Amino acid sequence: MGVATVPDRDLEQMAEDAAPWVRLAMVDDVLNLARANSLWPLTFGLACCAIEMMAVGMAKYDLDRFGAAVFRPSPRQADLMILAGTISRKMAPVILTLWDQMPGPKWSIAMGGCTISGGPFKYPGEYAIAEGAEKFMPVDVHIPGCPPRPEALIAGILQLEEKIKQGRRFGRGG
Amino acid sequence: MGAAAELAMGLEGAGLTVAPPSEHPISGVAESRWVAPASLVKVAEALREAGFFYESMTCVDRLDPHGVFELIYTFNRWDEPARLAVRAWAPKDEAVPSMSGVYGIAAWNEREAWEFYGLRFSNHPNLTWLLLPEDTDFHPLLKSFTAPPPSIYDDSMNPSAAPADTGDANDHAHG
Amino acid sequence: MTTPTAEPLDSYTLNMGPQHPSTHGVLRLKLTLKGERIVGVEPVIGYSHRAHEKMAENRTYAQFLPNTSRQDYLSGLIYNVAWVEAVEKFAGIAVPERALVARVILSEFNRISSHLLWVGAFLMDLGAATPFLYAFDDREAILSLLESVTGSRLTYATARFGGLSRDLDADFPRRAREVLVKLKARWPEFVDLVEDNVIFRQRTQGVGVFTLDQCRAWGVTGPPLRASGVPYDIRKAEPYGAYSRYQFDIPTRPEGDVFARYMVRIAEMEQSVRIIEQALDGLPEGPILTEGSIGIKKRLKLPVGTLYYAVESARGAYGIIIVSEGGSEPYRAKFRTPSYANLGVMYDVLPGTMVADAVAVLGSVDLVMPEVDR
Repeated sequence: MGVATVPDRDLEQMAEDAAPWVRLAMVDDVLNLARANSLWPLTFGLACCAIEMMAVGMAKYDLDRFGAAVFRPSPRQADLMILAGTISRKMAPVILTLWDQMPGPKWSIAMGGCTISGGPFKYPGEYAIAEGAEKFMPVDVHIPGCPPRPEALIAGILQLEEKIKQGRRFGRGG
Repeated sequence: MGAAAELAMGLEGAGLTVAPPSEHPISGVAESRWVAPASLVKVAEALREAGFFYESMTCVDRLDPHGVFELIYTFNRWDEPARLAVRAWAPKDEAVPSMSGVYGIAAWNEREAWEFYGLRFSNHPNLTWLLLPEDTDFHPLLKSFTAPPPSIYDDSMNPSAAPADTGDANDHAHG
Repeated sequence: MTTPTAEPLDSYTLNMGPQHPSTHGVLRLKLTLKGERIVGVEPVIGYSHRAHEKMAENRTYAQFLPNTSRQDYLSGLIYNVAWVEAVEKFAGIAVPERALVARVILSEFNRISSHLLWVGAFLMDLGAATPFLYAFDDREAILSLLESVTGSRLTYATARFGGLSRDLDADFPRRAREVLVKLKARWPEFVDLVEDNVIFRQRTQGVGVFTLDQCRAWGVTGPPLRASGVPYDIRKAEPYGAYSRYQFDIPTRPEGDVFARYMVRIAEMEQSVRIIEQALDGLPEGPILTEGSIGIKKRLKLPVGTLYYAVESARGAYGIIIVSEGGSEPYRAKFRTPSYANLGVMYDVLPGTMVADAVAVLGSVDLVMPEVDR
């Protein structure tokens, strides 16, 4: 009870005065900053793209510097699903189950042509694959390629970070 | 004489081979013989006795014009190159005896032949879907199969999708 | 053994996969356990079925080239070359010497990179995270080299009917030898880090033995067969390409357990280095593609007939069966993949092992699921 309210312009003045020692921000922004910089992907390789995903986690391309190389085997602990590889019709319900098991906030990256539209396995009358992950689940970032280079996957993750934070990681010109 | 030729002659001697129903040549094998589907298990037992391993099985849709499925089994040896092809014509609605009691891997090859062609195998321990989802109701590798029923996984149920364009001749082979 | 029956009350069904960190792709194993011991196993496959065989019937021989690498993407170059060589044999297309030798060099580098990835992933399954990083570091060196020649890192469509699409540049032998030096410097580190490790030995020695009878009944080929004492390698049994010119051994071990399969693959990498060195020394000059070859612009028609073409991939004996009725597309193309049989043998091998060893046994076989499912 009895909370003193401060007019907005005074708040701004206070923030400016306190600036060298204290920063103010919206909680949501801070949380988004944390989420973007510590994405925990689900270890979920389906086919060839999985190998490039593994290569990204390794020393040469090093996903760890973006905070995103903590691959979790359990969907309950992951917040990013990188769909790497062709989605067969037998596998699609399994993927949806895994996606549903992931607690929010969660994001997904469709890596490779197969997860975007079926890739090289799409042809009129195909019976075996799902023509893109978006046929049955939401996707945040699409990375084209067959398979995409590891740098492309990193670019995709950076794109996702921008999406989460609504701002660039490296600032203007970065 | 190589092991494949020796065994092939043994099969002939045992009366297990038949005259070739087709002149379709096969290469890349040391020997090739045609058998009747009813003799397949005996042939497999003879090969197992002689130390051959089960290398592969191919089912080919020859329903048009012959009304049969052609089965091409290959067996081989570790100690010398001795690929023996055993070929059979299996009429469309007759079950082929399963080799799974002799060679374990035959169980999967036969399941695959069933699920892709609808060819039944008798005495098979578990003739169900192997590679395809359990609710599949078509046999895809038949020449008569061209497209699956509408599904959410392709654009067939998407009213706003553009009709599949036939594209230029490079899109698919029949152009 | 595969009949679904009612389970006795004291057994428990454990489902492993299809999403599992150790099943190396989308494999599902329904394990029936009694306590910690596996009494039954039912692999459920097909989660990576991409209809290669149906596509082959609707693609010309050249249009199928992109599919070839994607069957087993770790031996992608070997599979690509195998398809091209099968068609060349069927159609009687000549290949220049330089291309034959270049194919051997690239294939052997591909084999080493596949084994390196296996070593890393297998040891990661057993809990060792460090060798994964070392293995990938070496693999990146090989992939950079292959990329400089073919343009791709993982899935290649570099072979053409009558040779290769791109020539090896003049600097290639020097770069290739540098990579070999780097690889050879790494072998002693693996010995120190892995082979002498007591935990590794306890987890792998005596575990998951493949008997010869099982290998024969299931058609096991490749390193698992060689680790059970059988020196069967298509490169020696049915030499193809330029392999008959080179001296190399077929490493085998008698024990047939997980440790033997590890040692065989390490030894195979050393033999591959040996082949590459000989091939680089004898790399002839000349064209890389037969003059006036069909390439990919015209539709190649093969004569009527069936051909079985076998090569040795990193996983075992890979067979391509092309049934041609004289058209520009195969009438039927069947791919006999080594992982199919090597997975099938699990029906006989896993029952009796402990569930904690299942990961080691499965990992030691080196499965690539898209190759099983095609």
